[in-house]
Amino acid sequence: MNRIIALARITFLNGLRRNAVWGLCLFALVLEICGMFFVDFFGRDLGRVISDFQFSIMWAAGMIFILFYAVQAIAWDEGHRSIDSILARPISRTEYVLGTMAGLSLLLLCFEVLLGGLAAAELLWARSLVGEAYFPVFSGLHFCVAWGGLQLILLAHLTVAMLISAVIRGAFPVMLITLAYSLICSGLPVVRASMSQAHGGNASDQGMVTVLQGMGMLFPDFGRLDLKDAVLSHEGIEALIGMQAWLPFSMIVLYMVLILFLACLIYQRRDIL
Amino acid sequence: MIQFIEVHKTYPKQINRSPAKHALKGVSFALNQGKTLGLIGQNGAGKSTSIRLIMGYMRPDQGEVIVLQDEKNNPSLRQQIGYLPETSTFPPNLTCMELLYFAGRCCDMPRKAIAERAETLLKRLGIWHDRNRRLSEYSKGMQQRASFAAALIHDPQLLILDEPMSGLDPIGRSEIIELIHDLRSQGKSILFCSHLLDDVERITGHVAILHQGNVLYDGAIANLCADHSDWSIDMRNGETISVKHEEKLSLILHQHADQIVGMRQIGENLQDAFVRVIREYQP
Repeated sequence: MNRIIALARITFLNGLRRNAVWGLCLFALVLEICGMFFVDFFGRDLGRVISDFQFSIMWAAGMIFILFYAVQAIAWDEGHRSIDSILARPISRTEYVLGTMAGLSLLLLCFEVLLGGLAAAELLWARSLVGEAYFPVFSGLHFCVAWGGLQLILLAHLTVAMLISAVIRGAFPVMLITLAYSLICSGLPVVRASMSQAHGGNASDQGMVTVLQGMGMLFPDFGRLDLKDAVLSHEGIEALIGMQAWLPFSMIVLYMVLILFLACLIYQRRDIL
Repeated sequence: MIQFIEVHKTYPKQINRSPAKHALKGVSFALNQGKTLGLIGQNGAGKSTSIRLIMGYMRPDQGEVIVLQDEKNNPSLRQQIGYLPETSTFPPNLTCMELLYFAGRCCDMPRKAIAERAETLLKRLGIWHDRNRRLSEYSKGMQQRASFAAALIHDPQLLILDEPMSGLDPIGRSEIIELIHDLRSQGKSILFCSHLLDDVERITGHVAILHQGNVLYDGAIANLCADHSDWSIDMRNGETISVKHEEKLSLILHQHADQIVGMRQIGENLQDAFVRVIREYQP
């Protein structure tokens, strides 16, 4: 555990001192502040517009962090040979993958806490400005759950980026495959829904439906963790997603554990040239 | 401490890249406890591959690499190994102290022990005053010293140094050689690679010459050079005759005994011996 913490610490410190990470953070904060200008343009849906906008910025900033910074973590170490210096310590490959993942996750979470805090403050400010008639509900607890769901989506993408980094060399291919994974994850539920609508219970398409359902194991539907509507809703989260709230959370956590296990297993067996 | 037994390693062919390369072809050598071994060879001879196998970054295709009596190369063994890589690259935004703290914590050293050991090492290596600067601001020589400190922070029994003098100025090289001598006197086992054969001669008396994945020589430098020493004979008329073979030497001594004013043996140095061994190699 000491080794994982030590590695997570240097990954975190190294990232924290990167100008690009600070630049992205500042850019996202400025964009969030721009959300205040919506107050003058929207009436009754003001809360929903601001909430959607803030969550979209948090998601986009997190994805940019993953696709342009986190995917480089292992590739940089291998390309610049700093992995030689790191693995010269009594660190196993598994500890290396877990330590790097922990450091990057911590960095991402710190970044998202800042953005999330500003988003919540802005929603409260907008509500106080326009009054309850235009902004009837704001649930702090639901905001935290929605924020947690978003973080799980981002962490799942980060975990997949670690798996791909463990399999192939080079930051660019890792970035492309992670991006493709993300696009498939968002597109698959749409394809599934259109298949079932177009063909109903047609037996000849049953095979395709099974394939699509099987693909759902590899490319999960992250839409179930997209709970931003709950922030402004009278209804509970269960009513929104149609199942117990803990279920999608625990399924994604299990998915991440399996992906990380696979990443460690593959990296353990790979030659570091 | 280290044993290579008939080790083979081939790098697989890569798409759009170089074909498969047989990097090691049945390499055998050993480093015993408390000894120093210099691994020398041209670029691509297999030195770095050997070191990467020792460190467990790769696995041999055939043969055995036994490090500290362990064939499986367990990562925990590295608690007794100090490794200085050829290219000393670290996460660039860390300071030297953060690097040493990381290296120490990985070996389960307490914070206080890390701080004390870091102070001793960094003062010895001359970068104590720069300890809180980022590594990206260090010169190449300073990075090499920081890397050396990281390799020694846990006081390892076995040291593996890949080009330890690279990037160092002449004063820095002398200091590192002195440090290596100190480590030898403390009973550490040292395996090192270097292209600077003068430095190799200053550090160790035992070398293994690697060439195209084969060990061409493994033994004492003195033995390698002794068989190929020249004799220089000074004649009364001021002329100097250089003789390579002992038969010819005895003939000259017999024929010109009255004209000889002096003679001396000029030993081959490691550089000459290395070039000779490589040129004599017939695959």
